[in-house]
Amino acid sequence: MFYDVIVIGAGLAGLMAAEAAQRQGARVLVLARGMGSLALTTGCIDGLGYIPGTSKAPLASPLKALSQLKEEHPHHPYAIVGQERILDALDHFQELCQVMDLPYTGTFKANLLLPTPLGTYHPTCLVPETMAQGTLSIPGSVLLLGFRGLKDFPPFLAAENLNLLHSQGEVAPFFRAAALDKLDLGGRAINGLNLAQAFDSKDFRKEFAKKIKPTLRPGERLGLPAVLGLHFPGEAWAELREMLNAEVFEIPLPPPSVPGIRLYRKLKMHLQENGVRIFVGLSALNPLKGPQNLNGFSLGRAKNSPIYRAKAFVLATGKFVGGGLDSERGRIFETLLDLPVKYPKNRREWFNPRLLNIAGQPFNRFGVEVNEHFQPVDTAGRVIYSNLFAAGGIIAHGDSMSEKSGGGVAIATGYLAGKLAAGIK
Amino acid sequence: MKTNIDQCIKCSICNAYCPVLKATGLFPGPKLCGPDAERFRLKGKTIPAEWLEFCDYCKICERVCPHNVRIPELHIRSRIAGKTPKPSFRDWLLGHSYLLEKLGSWGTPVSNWINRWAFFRWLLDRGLGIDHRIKMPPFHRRTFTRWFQTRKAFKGTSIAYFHGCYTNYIDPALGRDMVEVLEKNGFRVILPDQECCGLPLISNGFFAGATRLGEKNLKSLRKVVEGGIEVIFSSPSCGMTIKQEYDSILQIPGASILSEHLSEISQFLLRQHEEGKLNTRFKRISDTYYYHAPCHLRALQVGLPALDLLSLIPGLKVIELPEGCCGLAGSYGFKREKYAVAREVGEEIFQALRKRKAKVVISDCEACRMQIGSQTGVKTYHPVQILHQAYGE
Repeated sequence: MFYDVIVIGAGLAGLMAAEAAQRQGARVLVLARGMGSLALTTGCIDGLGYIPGTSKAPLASPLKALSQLKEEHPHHPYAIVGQERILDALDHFQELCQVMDLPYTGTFKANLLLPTPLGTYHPTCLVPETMAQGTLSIPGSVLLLGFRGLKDFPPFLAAENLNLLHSQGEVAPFFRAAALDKLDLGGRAINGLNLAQAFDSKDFRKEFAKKIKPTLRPGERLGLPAVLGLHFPGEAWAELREMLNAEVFEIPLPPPSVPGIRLYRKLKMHLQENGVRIFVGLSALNPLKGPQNLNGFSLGRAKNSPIYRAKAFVLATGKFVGGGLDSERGRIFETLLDLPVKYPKNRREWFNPRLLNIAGQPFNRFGVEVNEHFQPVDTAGRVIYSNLFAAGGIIAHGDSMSEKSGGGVAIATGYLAGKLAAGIK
Repeated sequence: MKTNIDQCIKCSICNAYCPVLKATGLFPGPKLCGPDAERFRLKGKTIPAEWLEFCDYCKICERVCPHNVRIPELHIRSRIAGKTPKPSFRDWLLGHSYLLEKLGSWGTPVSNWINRWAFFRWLLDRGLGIDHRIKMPPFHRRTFTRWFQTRKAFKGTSIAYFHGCYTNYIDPALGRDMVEVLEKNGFRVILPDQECCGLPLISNGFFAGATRLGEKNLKSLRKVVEGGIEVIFSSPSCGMTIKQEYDSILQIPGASILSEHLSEISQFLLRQHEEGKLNTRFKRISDTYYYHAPCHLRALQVGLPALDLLSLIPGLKVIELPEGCCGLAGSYGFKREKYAVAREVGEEIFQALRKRKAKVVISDCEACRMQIGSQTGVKTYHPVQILHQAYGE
């Protein structure tokens, strides 16, 4: 079958690329090995939290820090996209979320600090409306409510740690914790996903509100783990606020993350409604390469395997977690097209011996080098395939882990690469 | 290729998308049941047997995994390893559904009367654990193969059709449409000797029996393929079993040669279209149908050829239903302890259909058609039957 644009990868960058290309009128197909890594994220769109190696404190504004980032990492994806186009892409994302009925608040101009389940903070810039009231610059008192048996959210520990930060003047609100007695979810394990499903039911929400109302003091905000519904989070959130007559916010949990899955589902549904076809779970994608062009992909190695061709391609396969990069002892490679990846020959320079060092792990910056049009280039700077564009984590020089920049980079590069790909005739 | 469990990075994406885990607390989820438990099994330790039985073998976990861990294969392998109790008589019956279908078809109309008899269903429910709420499809005395034998020979390129048991005994109309659609495109259909593909036996834990059927099928299909004739199938589950499980699960020697020559029917017709050979004199169908992509079609990794194919029919709008498992999973949904789970698994699809007041659902798989039809009351068709309609016969 023939498409205008084929996007490889179903993470945030890939889905944004598909959306941008489809909006230009292109017929778009998304091919992916797995479900994409959105389920592994917080569901928040991080802009730029830190410039590793400079300051320990989170940046006040990703936008204002861009020039400094460019000095430190001249080839950083943000540096290639440029300020104007980053803002443009994020605006577009926010409009899209409004249309998809999953509104995001915030701006690239200022970082928000959100609480984590361990009682630390996490700088981010666009957040689902259900999390906005958790912003740590809003003073007042907060009740953190956990669910007994939910390992991913220890409310007492979180409150204690946040109060420590409060006493050091780093966060504005004061915290108190409580835990709800073990719920019966019909024998199902108490975890984020099962709770979120339970919160999709009106009766469950009513019961829940009745149970916690006496615990909540007047004027107190209520912080809950991010489990307020898998399908209708806006509805559950609004209803709880009304029933409790209090501000309510969600705190994202470790993966698999409910807010990440919500965003994935909404984006996927939106794309499919607009005629984009999405095939997930393809273990063998074999590229059909021309001398200067990519022609298509065969789904499998057999001679009767179906072949999908397109005029242009977007590579959005991510790094090691997404599966776009892989390594052997002594070698790091791009898994789909074997594009060149730059890395030090000495293996020791791949890693920082301190696992959680704030400077980040060098290997997290590895990836594919691109030119100003997001076309992968070889070591001499020559374009490899004239109709191939890269987006998201697969692009070298960005480190979403230590910079807290994953969502912003994915959206900015994905949106751009999708547009560029749709422009190929 | 043996699954390397170190490929699993414990991201839990499989758990996030497992339809059974969502529906019941009795299943601990693919991650724990597959790669996690495999470490214990490799050490010779046992894990609770009922865990494995709650897997409905939809293969969604394998599909969503970013690192291609073949989780369902791990589940099946540990059952083969014999660490689970012997399957019950009920599972024997469901596994040998091809025998029951043969018998039922021979015994019509009496067998259909009995099947509809509430007391008999009550007996099956209480005595064996086959849920009384599940609708038993009626058998046909005039099977597809019998109809085929009475047909005049057609001249054209030969193509072999693996119809499977369901088409033969329960839905012979589909087989007839298949033959006529292929003839419209200049193919002469031949029916190679065939047995049940063996999937019901595999999913009920009868691996030796499945291997025996597999060997017979392999022998017969091999002869066809070596004669230069391509093989097509209309049931993705049968096709998936022959293309993938004969080699990876049953490890029948020589099975891998079939996968090159076996094609799903819509994929086959789409390829004809790409080569400019498909007869596209379709009549207009001014209607909106819904399409459910079966899990085992997705496991074949051929995309969604039926959607592309049906888009060739003028006037017809086909809307893809939310991606997910319908829940029946062959014989899984027939079991009393799993009927409710199966219904819950498919709920998102059923809801979408009810919300949109759908009348017609198209799906390639007979089990999906059965489940969706009986849970929502919509009419269900195989994509080829829609093509047949569009050809105007």
